[in-house]
Amino acid sequence: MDIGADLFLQMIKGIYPGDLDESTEKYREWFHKGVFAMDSEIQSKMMQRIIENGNLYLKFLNTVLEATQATYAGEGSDENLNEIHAHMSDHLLELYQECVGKYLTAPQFGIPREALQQINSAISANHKFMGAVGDFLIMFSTPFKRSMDILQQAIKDRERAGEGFKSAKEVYNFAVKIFDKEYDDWLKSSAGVQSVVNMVDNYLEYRKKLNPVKDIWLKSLSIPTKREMEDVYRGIYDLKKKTRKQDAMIREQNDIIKALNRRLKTIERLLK
Amino acid sequence: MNYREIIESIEKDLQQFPQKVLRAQEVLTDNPDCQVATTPADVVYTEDKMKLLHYRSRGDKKNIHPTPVLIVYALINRYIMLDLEPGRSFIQNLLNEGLDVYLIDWGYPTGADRYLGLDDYINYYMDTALEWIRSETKTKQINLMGVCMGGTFSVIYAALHREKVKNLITLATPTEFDIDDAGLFLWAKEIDVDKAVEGLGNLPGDIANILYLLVTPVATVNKYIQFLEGVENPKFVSTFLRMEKWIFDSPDMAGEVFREWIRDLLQQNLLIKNQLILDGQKVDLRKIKCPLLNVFGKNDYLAPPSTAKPLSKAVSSKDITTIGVDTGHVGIFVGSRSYKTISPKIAKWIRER
Repeated sequence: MDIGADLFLQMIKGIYPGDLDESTEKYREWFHKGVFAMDSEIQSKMMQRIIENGNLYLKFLNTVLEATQATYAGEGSDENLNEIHAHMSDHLLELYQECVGKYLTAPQFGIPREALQQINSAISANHKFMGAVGDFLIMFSTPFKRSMDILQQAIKDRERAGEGFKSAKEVYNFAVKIFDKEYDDWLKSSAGVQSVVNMVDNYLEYRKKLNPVKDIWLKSLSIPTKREMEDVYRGIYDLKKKTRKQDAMIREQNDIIKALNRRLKTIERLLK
Repeated sequence: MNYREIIESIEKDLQQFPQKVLRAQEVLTDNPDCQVATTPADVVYTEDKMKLLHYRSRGDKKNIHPTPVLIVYALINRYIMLDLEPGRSFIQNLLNEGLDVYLIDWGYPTGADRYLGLDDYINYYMDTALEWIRSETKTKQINLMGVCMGGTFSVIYAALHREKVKNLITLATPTEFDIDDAGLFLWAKEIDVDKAVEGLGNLPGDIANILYLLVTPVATVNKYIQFLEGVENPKFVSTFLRMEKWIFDSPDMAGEVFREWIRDLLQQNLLIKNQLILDGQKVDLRKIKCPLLNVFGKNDYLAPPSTAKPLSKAVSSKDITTIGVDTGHVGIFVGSRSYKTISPKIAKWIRER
């Protein structure tokens, strides 16, 4: 409850224009008694602030909707989507600072601006990836429709020719062959290849954008980041490779020494 | 059956579908036998994640062929497919034919293996394994047998270290990558591999698996429907689960080797053009002069004949045998008919040389 009261006090300080450095107990009491104990001036200021924050929230929500619409409707060029997501990022930051940051008077609380942008960038990449998955699934249904048309026609043709099917299993096996061929053709066609590659490419972009976000998180927990670990692995790899080459050289030199010793012994024997 | 009867029959089957699913659930939760790779083998050498396995020979040691066979499996999925189950094991068949079999198990790469490239796998790990066998068995040259991507590795190795290879056997091995009848090859050509390695580090086995399954979406779905149909047959269930175990046991692929595999082989097709360079050495397939046995599946959708066959023309060997088997990618090893015929053929081919 006291934490709530402190937070409440901070909020009041943020809203109330005058000097409120009086006894905090008064405000704690207000909080415990409830908002109705406040005088009408503060109530009206708070209401005004809530409306202002609501507007900010709506602004943010609009950009989210705009981004989603552009992604799913396939209207989003890279440039367009980047712009929308930059707006979204700004609105989210503004909303965060107005609603949370200023009352807590703790700038480090929450996410640093740089991290927030990276998170938004990863979210944006994820939206684009989901959009690409959607596009792929739509395209993926085209061979299905074509297969169904071919199957129906084939069944009719066979029936007309008096070569009907003996069982549902035979129909199923017949259908599998048609579907298999249609899907195989589509997946190898330029449209199929582009569809798969687009989905994979968007996934890779998302994973690429996700790495710095993970690194920020790991860094905040004092755990080595992916990049730092990769540097360590690179170092170990280079060292191992160097050691192997040196080992090979030593083995080679040993072989030469052994051969020379053998020759030396032969010469010694001959001299004796 | 007319159109109406077909629909009625399908409806009837669909009504039985939930019962079949429940029955499958019962069978699967009843702990069915699905152990794989049960042929006894000793780990004779290890280096980082790589293990060299030596399969225990059967019968009289005097009858065992003096030249050992080293099997190099792909980095994708695991070698367990070669030893799927008793009575359906390519490796057991080779042992029964009197061959002395070694196999490289690449293990499960982690972040620490991120920078391993083709040069490390071929010129270091493979060479170390081969050297170990040569030194232990006191044989100057050994038989090198590569499977799928492991076959490509073996081809490269044979070109770079020809003095150590007596016979080269390639099974379902891609070497010509500029083809248009394999979905994966076409996709790989368009992928930004640098972005992939930057974003993912090592290639996660799960992602590779999803792409493999996506190449044949209908077969993937059909296989589970077939499982529901055969669920009352314990032998069928065991084999099915063993195959599933193999399919979903997909180690990650080291980032750098993935980059080189896609960029240098799949996208630039450098191997067959004799332009691939490993650690400053040019891989010239024309330098392969040892006998070559090139086996491929005629219906292979992953490494179709168009990618496997050109090797026979690219090498300078005078003794080349090319065999197309009426099966798919894994059918060579586990197909109910081909696995019984192909391993005796391979063993005979080796014994004759």
